[in-house]
Amino acid sequence: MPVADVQQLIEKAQEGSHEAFRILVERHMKQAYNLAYGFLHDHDDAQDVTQESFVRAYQSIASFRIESEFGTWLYRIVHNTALNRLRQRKTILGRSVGLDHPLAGRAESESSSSDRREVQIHIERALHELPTLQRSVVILRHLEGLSTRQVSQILGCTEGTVKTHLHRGLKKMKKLLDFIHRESS
Amino acid sequence: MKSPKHIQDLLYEFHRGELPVDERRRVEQHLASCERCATSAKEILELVNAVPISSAKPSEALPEQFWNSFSYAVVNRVRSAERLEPARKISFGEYLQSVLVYQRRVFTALAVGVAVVAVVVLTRQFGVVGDPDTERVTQAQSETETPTVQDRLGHYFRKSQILMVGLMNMKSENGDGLDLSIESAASRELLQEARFLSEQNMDERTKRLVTDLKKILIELANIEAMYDLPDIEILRAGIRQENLLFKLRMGEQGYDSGSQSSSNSTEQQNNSSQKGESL
Repeated sequence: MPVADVQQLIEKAQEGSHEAFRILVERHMKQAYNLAYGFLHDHDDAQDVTQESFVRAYQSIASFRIESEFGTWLYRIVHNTALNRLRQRKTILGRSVGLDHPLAGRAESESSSSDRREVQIHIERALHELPTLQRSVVILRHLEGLSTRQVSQILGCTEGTVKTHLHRGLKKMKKLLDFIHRESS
Repeated sequence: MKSPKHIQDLLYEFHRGELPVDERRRVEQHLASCERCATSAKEILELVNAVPISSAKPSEALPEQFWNSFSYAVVNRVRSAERLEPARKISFGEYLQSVLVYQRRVFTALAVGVAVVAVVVLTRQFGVVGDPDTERVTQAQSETETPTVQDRLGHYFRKSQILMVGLMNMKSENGDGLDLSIESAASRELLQEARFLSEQNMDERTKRLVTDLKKILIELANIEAMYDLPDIEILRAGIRQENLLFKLRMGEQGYDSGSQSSSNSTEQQNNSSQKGESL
């Protein structure tokens, strides 16, 4: 889609056009969903967070400045909404599902049914151990494959910072995954 | 041949197959001849392989039907959110306060207006005509009062420093989020100043600081409607990573002392010219 068209759609959405915003949603929904899923590893949560992010984007589209790229702006909302959801989930799990809870056992048995799922769970566990910025960089740059430039724009830091955190994050992930593998075997 | 530092910067992209063909070939050639870079490349390959990337996109796991209706579902959610937005009832106290605040503003505006009219009338009435010498002095004063680029840089750094320190020390009361509307408005004002300053002539280091700061300010200005903790954590990390507070302090000191020394030299010049006149 040409940049001028995107700009026009944004302007119309800023004036309150639902249809213009719907077209913007269509353009970005899959990437936004993949991004949310990268943080949450759950289809229901990812779907809900993606929708919520779009609603929040619509509600604050008046404050969007053309200086930044729409996709980058939107992905940052998705990034924040997903992190908030993770935090809520952590609190809820911490309160209601202990290690001896039947749900925890069920999740464990389901995970062992597939090797790929197990690897995914290990990655998720290791990701949770990383500091926020490192985790975001690893997800956005390494797992989602966004460019260093895009990630720097989403996170509001320099490309050098992205590279540094990526290196540190992957190094830490490697150590954690080795530990998890040893622990599970 | 490119420097090892440059090659090492490209190793991650190299292993992900993101480099253009000619660049990839150059890296391969360099790795064949440089043991140090070859070792780094091996380490980075180990890191890349340690965290496997799934080739299938999660969105592909969902049926096309789901995606066909997704945007409509979002718009429906937007509509229902608009409908659910409560029409907030204003309490009598709030109403009274708004009226009083409004009246106070009107009163202030009226008072200023009356004062201006009185000054104009009195000036005309008593025929106070500007003395050419006095006018010259006033003009010279206004010229000296117009802030120089150095002054503006000093102000810009000082205000930004205050803003950044505030941001670094902010704490959420309930752990959910922070209201950054004031900070956001202040950063918008500073951004305008940054735009002016980045077009001025200055040394490379200052220019870089102005640019780095501008990035943080843009983020802060855009944060307005989504003042979430992750955003703020990232902004803080950015400020720490770039060591911005220290750089700002140095920048501010530099420009303050610069403006002071320039004003001192102006004073010295004035004194010497006065001495010349008296002699």
